[in-house]
Amino acid sequence: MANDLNPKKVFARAIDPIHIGAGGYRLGLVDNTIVRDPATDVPKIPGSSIAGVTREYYTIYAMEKEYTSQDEAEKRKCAEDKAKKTFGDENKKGTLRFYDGQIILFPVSSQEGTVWITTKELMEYWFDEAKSEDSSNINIPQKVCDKAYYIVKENKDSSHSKQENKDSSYLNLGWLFLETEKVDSGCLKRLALRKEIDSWVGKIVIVSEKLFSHIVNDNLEIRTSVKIDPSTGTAEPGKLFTYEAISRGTVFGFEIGVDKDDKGVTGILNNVSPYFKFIGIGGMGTRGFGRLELFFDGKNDKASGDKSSPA
Amino acid sequence: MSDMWKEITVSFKLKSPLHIGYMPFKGSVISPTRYYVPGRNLWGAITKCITEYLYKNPTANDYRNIGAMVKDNFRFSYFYVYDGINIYFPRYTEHELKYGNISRSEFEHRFIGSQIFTAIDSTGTAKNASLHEIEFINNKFKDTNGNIKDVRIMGCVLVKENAKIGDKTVIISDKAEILIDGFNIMKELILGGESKYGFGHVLFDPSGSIKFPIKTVKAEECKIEINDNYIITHLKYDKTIKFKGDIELLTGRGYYDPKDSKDRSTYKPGEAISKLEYYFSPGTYILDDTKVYTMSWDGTLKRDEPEQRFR
Repeated sequence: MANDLNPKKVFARAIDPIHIGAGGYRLGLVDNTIVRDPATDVPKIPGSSIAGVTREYYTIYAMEKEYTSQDEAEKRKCAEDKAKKTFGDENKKGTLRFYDGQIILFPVSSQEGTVWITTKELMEYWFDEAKSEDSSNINIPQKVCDKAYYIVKENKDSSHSKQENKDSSYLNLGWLFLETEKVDSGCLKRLALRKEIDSWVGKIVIVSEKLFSHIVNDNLEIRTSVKIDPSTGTAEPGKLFTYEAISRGTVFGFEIGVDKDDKGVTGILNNVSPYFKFIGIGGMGTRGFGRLELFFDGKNDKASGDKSSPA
Repeated sequence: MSDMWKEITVSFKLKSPLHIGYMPFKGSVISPTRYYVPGRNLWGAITKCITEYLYKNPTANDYRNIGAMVKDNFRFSYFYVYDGINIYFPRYTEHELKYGNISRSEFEHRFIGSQIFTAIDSTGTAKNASLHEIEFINNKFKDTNGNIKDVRIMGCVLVKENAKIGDKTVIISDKAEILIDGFNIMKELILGGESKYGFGHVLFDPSGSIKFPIKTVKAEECKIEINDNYIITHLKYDKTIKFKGDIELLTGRGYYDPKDSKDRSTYKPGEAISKLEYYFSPGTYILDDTKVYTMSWDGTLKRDEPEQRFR
């Protein structure tokens, strides 16, 4: 009997800034804004963007690896027909559901170096409760108020952790100056932080949901570009524009739901994962934006290419 | 002897945004949502859930047969946005359309969002004529203190006494779960449109539910009483009814029209458009004192003929 709506959790690290354009204007400093969640105002990657590139990369994968015809158009058609079976078209509903990608851990510069901010709710949703002793287990606070909570990993050198935070009882996150509190092993709730995710981030700091949105929005990457007039080599009048992006190093989580007991999703993810890492998602790709490194249960490292990526 | 009906108040937490499309739509955004969930959507989602629970590889006929059984054994009220304290029923008041005790614009600010989408063509840029905007009920909202909370929807399900789906007995648990072979058929559902992009995933959430304001008065005939002059589902238009509110042509898309006795099913999703009928919109104020109605499988109401009403 098939009835499992539990979506598959996929984690992603931004190797480049990520720009998913909102397609409209907001009054403010930035001309080309990115998509945000309407309730929390936290930037996100819409499920439709993830669905679109996954489908396209699956088609490219099929063209490159599964069809041998010399005719590119014929190969493309065969690959598209194959993708239709899973992703659907106007005549048939697809079997996969792509949920919005959420920011789980967001890098912010501070006097302690870069810290990755998150919330208790995000950690509880995306990571399972720790079932065994492991160096990647983390403790999270029972209650969060307007402070910054340093996460101390279990079984790591505790004296080192204490030394790290000895002198600073306050942490600056941009314009915010927050009192800090260390979440140590006395806390009741322990979560298992996946080793792969652990290797993507440094110090983790939990803040309240209220502050999270402000801190993320105040630390987005904003760039200014201008069109150059080739005849003069100078800026063209009226062509200055600004655009924003989610910073490099951000860790996202997104989910893929599967209809009708289709267990092929891990295989599809393994096929498309290298393309996410080398081509990416969203706009401004010609300016070096968009690459994502994926991690999910059942990931085949051989399929996803080499491990080189900037920190 | 007629069967008796048992009413259960049910609430769901929105895991993702919810889009309930309708026809004909207004012109302000391209694809607006209803601000509530009609019973017909619940019928469709429950039918899908039960069919895929009972059959490993269900055929179109399996869905159709289970759909007919669900129609016979269940009645679904409309489901409305619920914030844990208030249910936001529409009301055509003297001055404006309100939701709960707040104005429509405040309701939209708090619960409704929209997003612009575009398809990308083979050049990697936006495809011509594919720009569209989808409105949705957001899955999170900010309360008056700025705290982020989950949006829920609440309604009522009537289950026929001794209900059976095929040879499986339907059991109602102490926790208001509807069980088939111990499986809660309402545990997780996919409601409404844009499910390919993760929309419409709702989770059964009985915590803190208040009673949905429907009272069964003649359980053997599925007659219900609404303790208010404002109707909370669509009511079949009757020219003798005096009202303040709105009338709309009600229809919907599906694989087939459940109201059509002739077999005109299709394999294309949403191709069959159900027969158009006039209804009073939810929130319409009915000027006389009759508050007893017969509820049909899709939650729409019908007022009895006068001789039946006063029997």
